Amino acid sequence: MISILQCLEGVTISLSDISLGSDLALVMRIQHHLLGILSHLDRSKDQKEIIEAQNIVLTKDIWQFPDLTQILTLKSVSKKSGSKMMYFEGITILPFTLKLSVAPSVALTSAQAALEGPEAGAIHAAVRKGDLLIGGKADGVVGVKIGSKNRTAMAVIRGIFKSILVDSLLRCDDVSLNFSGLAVRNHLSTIPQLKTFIGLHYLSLLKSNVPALLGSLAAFGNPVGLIRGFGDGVT
Amino acid sequence: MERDITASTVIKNSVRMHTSGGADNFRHNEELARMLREGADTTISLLRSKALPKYSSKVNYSQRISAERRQNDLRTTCDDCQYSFRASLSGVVLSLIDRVPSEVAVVTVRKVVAMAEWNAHRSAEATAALSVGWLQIDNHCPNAPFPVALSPSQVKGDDDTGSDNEYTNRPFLSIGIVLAPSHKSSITVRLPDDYF
Repeated sequence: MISILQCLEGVTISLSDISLGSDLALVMRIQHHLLGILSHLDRSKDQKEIIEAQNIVLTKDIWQFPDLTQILTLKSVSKKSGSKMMYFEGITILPFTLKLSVAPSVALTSAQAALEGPEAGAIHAAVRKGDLLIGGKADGVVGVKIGSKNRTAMAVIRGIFKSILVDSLLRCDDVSLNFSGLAVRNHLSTIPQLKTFIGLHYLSLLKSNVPALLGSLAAFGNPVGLIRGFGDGVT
Repeated sequence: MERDITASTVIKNSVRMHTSGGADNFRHNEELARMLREGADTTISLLRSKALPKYSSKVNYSQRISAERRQNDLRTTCDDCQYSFRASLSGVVLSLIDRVPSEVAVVTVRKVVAMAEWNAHRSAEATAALSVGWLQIDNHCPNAPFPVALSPSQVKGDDDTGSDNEYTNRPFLSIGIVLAPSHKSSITVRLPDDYF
C-alpha cells in the first residue's frame, strides 16, 4: 500500500540547564489553583447549559467565559484523525541538567495566615504536619489532608514522627539530574508512537538518576553533595 | 574571433523558443508547421533588423530561451502563495492569584521568538522555529524557602560578564522543525491492514 508520507527533515529541541527549587506548599497551592480553575470552567459550562435549557432571554449583558474544554476536545479529536505515519529524517534533543532542591515549607505566622486566607493557611498547616495523600484519595496527583487534629497522646507522637519523616525525606539540596540527549535518525512512526518512545527514554533516564537523588537526600547526610563540595574545593 | 551563425541555426533556436517544451510536442504536423513558420518569421525579422546573433551572443540567446521557459513554468504555478509568520515578544508576565486574593506565583517569560515559513503548494521546505530566552517562576507564598522556584541555572563565567547578558548566550528553550517539501518518492511503505 502506498501512502503519501509527511517527511520531517529535522527536529531539534534544545533546553538549557534548569534549576528548580520547590517546597511542597508551593506545589500544593499551584495544584489547588489549577484545580480551582478547572472546576470553575465546569461550573460555567453547567450554568451555560442551564441558561440554554431554560431558554432565558437575557436582558442583562453577561459575558460568559469561553468554554475552553469544548475547544480543547475539538482540537484533540481533529488531532486523533490526523495520526498519520510520518518519516523523521532526524530528531535531536540536546542534553540538559536539572538541578533540584527541595526544602520543607515553613509554617505561617497567624498574621500571614490571616492575610493569605483560610484555604491557603490550611494547606500550609497540613503540608507542615505531613498529612499527605498520594494517588486515588486526593483531588490531584498529590493531596493533603486538610484540617485534621491530633487529639490523643498517641496521635500526637505519631504526628511528630510523621512530620520529622516527611521533613527529612523532602529535603535535598542541588541534586543534579542529568538528562542525556536523544538522537533518532531515519525513523518511521506515528506521532503517538514517537511520544511513547521519547517518554520511555526520559523515564529510563529518571530511573538511572535515582542513585544521585537518594545520595543527595538530607536524610542520609547528602554524601553526593559532600563529595561534590570536596571536588569543587580541591579544583 | 567572431563567427556568424547560419540562418538554419537561428531557425532551430527560434523554433526551440516557440515550442517551449520537449520533443513530445511534435505530435501534429500542423503544430510543427506553425512552429517552423513562427521560427522563420523570427529569423527574417532578425535578419531585417541586422540583429542576427553573433557566435559570442549565442550563449546569451540560449540563456534567454531557457529563461523564458522558466518564466512559463513560473506562470503555471503563480497561484502559489508564500506564507511567513513571525512573532517576537520581549516579555510576558503571568501572575497566579487566588480568590482571597493573594498571589501564589509569578511566571515570567522573556524573549519569545516564534517564526514559521511555508508555501501553499508545499514545493519548498517549510520551517518553524520557537525560542524562549528565559523562563522563571517566582514563589510568592510567604516564608518560601526558595523565592525563585524555577529558572535557567546560571552558567559559570557569567558573573564576569555582568548580569545584562544573562540570557543572551543560550536560550532556555529552542525548537526548530524543518518539513521536507511534498514530493513523490519511489519508496513503498507497507502499512498494517487495519491502519485505516
